[in-house]
Amino acid sequence: MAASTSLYPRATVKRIVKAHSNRGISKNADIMVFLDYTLFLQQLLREAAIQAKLNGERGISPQAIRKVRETALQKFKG
Amino acid sequence: MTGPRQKRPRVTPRNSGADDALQKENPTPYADLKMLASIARPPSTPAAGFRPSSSTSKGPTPNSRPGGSARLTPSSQHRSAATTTPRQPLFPVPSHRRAATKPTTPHAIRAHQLRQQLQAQRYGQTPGQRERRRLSAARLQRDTPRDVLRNLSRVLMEKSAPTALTPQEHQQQSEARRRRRRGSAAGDDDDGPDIVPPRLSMPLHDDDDSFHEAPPRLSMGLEDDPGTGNSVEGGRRARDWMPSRLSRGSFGSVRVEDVTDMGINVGEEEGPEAALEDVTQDLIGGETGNLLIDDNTQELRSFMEVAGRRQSRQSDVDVGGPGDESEMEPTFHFTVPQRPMPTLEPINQVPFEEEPPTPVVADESILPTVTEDEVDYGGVASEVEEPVAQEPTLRVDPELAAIEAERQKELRANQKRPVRQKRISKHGIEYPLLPSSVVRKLATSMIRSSGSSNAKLSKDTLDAIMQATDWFFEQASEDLGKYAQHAGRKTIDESDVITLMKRHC
Repeated sequence: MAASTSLYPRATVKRIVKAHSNRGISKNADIMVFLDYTLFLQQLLREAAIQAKLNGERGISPQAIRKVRETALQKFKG
Repeated sequence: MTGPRQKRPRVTPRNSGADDALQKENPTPYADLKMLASIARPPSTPAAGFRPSSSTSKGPTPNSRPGGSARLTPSSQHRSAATTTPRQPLFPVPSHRRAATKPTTPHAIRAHQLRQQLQAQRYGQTPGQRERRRLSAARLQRDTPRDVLRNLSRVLMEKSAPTALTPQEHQQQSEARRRRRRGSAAGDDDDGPDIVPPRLSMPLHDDDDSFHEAPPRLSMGLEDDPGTGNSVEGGRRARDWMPSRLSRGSFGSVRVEDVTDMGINVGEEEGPEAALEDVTQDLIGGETGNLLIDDNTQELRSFMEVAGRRQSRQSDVDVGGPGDESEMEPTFHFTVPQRPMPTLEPINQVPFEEEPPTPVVADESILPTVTEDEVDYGGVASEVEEPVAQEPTLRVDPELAAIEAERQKELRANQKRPVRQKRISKHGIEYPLLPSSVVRKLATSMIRSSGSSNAKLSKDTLDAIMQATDWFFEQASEDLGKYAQHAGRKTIDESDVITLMKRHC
């Protein structure tokens, strides 16, 4: 159902980037940004899964994500 | 030196000639000595060992020297010196002698016979055989305990792997490495230790590049320690991100929420202490009780203050039961802007509010906001001329309680707000969040692809991911903006994104 629609709202990503950077974003750069985000999310979830596993939880808990997201963010810093 | 050695060769051949049992027994010490000697000083020992045997012909040493034996000793010496192995010089020499000069004197003949016997003895049970036997025996001896240990370790490893898996990965890995080393030192296959690391990582990520695996463990190891240390500093802007959406403030709240567990614990710890304080106040009177507990648990309180302050929205909700606690904990978010207010008001309110319920006092005293309050209201205290220790707590409590109650309402309202609401960036521009459905879809597919069977995401988890998403976009687009600015462009280009992605690859 949703697969037929777009993967992500491009306009939203553009607006987010624009708002945070106070700069325009070129035509297709938002796709790259979203790719970056995807990588980030993957990293986050992977680490969170490890963390959750270490804590003996089933699935990924919000605590695991909270613990991990900062490092993930650090990793994706420019 | 020479005395005992002269005897020995005499004895050994006799015994060896007489008894087979003795024959077997005798060579071993002898060979052992030989071995030792060969190990200790290869060239000299054979000569020394040989010389007495050649001179075992009791009398003839003087006789033989001028004759054929005079040739022998030096030649044998030379040979032994040349052929570094100790055994060989013993054998070739007599053979030479046989060929060159047959012993003429009876003593020499006897010596020759003895030597031959010795030879036969040695050749019969060649040193190699003996060594082999010894080695095999040693192997058997070694093997059995080792095998037992190995089997034990394997069994234990298999059993222990799943249980030990959860708490510490580092130790396990190091253990596994150690065991692997041991195993390699022992020489054989080490299946047990090899199994463990893949088990840990396997279910989580199958096909991902392996160099990503190292960092998380490292980071976790690092994070555990500074988690508390950082949180001491980190909470400063903990709450600011909600209204003003300052960029780095958001990181503070990460820790805030991380500390929630601690905060809850603190709350639990406070309970009994508060009760204790009540008791002490009943018995002794409020001031002394406070003072006593202040002395005793100063450090704990200073810690708890930090923890309590850092308590996040969540913890407030979670703690629930002890409402006064959560009320009394001034979250930094609010205390900072409204600091001046309480400083003015308490003077008026002191007389009225001097009889608040004791638990509140206890709580306040426990949370060493007292120290801050003392700093703030030190002058006030002196004006009103009341015991300093209790005063500030009494004054501030009702105030803070009222203010905090309001704030907490706001907080709880805020708690749900940021998820849905439009936010305002650092530059004052409103921006939407990435729709959570998109994030959920992405995340679920990722979890599923990473091999985890449980691909469900709870709402809280999704919220946490959304928060991370927000931060990520904030961080990324700020970096992108900087890159673009550095490149002298007004718009963010693909090259900027590529630069950004190269940075963290």
